[in-house]
Amino acid sequence: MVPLVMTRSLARNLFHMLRGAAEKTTVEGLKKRGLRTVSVLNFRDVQMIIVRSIENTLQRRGLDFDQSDIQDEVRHEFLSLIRERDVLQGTVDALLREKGELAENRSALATELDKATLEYENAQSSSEAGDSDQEIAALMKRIASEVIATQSAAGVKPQLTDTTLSLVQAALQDHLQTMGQQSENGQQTNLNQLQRRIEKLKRKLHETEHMLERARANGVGIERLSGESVDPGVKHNDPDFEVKKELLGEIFRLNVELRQLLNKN
Amino acid sequence: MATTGKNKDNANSSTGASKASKSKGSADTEQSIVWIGMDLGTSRTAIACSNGVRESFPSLVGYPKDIISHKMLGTDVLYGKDVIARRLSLNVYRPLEAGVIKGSGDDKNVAADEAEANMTAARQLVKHAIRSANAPADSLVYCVIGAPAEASINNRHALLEAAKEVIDSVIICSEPFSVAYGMNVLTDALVIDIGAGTTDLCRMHGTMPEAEDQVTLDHGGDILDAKLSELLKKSHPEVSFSLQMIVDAKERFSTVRSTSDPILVTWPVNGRPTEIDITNEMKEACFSIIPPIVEALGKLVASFDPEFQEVLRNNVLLGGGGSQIRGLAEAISDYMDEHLGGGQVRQVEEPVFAGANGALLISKDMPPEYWEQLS
Repeated sequence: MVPLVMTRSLARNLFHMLRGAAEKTTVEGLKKRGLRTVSVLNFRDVQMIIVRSIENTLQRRGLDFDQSDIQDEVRHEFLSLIRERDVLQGTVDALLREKGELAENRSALATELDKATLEYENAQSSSEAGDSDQEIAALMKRIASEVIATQSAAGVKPQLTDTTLSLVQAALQDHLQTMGQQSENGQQTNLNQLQRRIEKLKRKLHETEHMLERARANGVGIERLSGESVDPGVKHNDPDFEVKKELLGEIFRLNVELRQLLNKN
Repeated sequence: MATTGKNKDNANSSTGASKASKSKGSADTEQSIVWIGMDLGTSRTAIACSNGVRESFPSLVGYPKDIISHKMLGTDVLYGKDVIARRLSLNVYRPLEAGVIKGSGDDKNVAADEAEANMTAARQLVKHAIRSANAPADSLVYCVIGAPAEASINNRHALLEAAKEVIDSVIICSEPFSVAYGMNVLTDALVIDIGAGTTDLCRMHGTMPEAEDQVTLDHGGDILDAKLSELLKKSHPEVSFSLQMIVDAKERFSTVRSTSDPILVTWPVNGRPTEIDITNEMKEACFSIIPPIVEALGKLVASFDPEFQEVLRNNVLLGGGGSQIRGLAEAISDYMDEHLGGGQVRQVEEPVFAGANGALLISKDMPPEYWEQLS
């Protein structure tokens, strides 16, 4: 069998793909992970391994295809894998961006919700406080003394002064009641608006948190693909979550029993 | 990645010193825990770690025979391939037998001092495996170790003992189960894990496999070596060979395919290197492990729910170092066709790491509070 050769463009594509897929890390980062030495694989060796593995597989299987057909097929397969990888990488990047935006959005919404809640509490306390009875009594007293002084100077009969005073008092009471009603209505409208805003903000916050949770779950998948460490524990979005949870619980129980048995002995 | 004996000793002392300062309170941060899946096999030990480290080495521990060897080797203990390379200067221990630490069971044939020596060697082997993980000195090490399906309480205890010095929290798990978990095959499947000492078979049906779901056979790679040696002594009595030469030949050429190139080895005959054809002996020895496996498969299938027996028969996973025999999956399928009325066997992707990969997945999926309780 004639040895397979990797074309220059195929090798170039492979090189770019490997470079793109490689985990980038600093020397300091490696030291932190406790690594003192790293194995470095020359690109030519990688190329040779791929060519040799194809060659060996074909030889083992006793297949005797036309070399150019194989090269075309391998090239085609390889390019489609690169395209697939690019699409996946694009999706991963978009998901990570979305996750970042959602986290920012969530924090802005939480701040706004805090602000609205504070505003609502202030409005409620000022509405509850109302006008002071003492202030009204003082106003009534001042009006009464001015009416008495004016009417006695003009020689008006005390009976008429009393009637005038009660009329003024009644008019003032009516006015205050109307003003109070208007103010209460305005305050209530303000409170209702604030309450609706708070409800809406809460709803948005809840939705954002849900979306963020989903983005995080996607993130776990991404991290698993890239070989980075992940949060421990079987994930809720695992299709076999229930079965795995049960099996892991069983393994744990058996290990606890083993320790108990050993402690007894 | 090679490290010198001196480096290994340094790594060991730093791990030991840091253990006292470890805080459980910080265990939930990613950096502070390294999860390890370990397949502590009779022939090879494999680890897969959450920090990306994957190592596999022969389960061998060697101590210098005398002061001269000690001076020459410059270390108190050697492991794995180094033991094979320097075996003439070493007292060699292969501390595991049939997947468990030698002398840890109820075997009265193993003397107390021999059992103790094997325990020490096993402890050092586990330490070496954990050091290979390159976990940062101040991180917690949580490890799932695969044990043969039928390992006894004493065997499991010995594993825990061997691990407790260097591992902060350890879980023992059935080896074939961890292979299945790693492949995400949790239901209606049969797993065959061919090791050096044993072949474990395990039936998966969505719950934890129980005793009746698991079978451990004494037919593993070691039996195959013995068979090959016996056949060669008969057919080529003039040839000199050692067990290590048999193992090397098996690792390079093992096959059950009827059509393959002749298997030629160059071994000494009266001190002269001579080319010998061992094709027939190799195929016969490799094939010898198939009938007992299929017989055990048949028992596990026959005792399963009749409605799902066919599904089970057609979903057989083949893993373990011994599964690397060329054409083995197809040969078992063919033998099942003949004797069980059909069957489909497929080989796992990484036979040597399948157990360790599965154990790593289990360790990562295990809730943190479980780890805390077992530490």
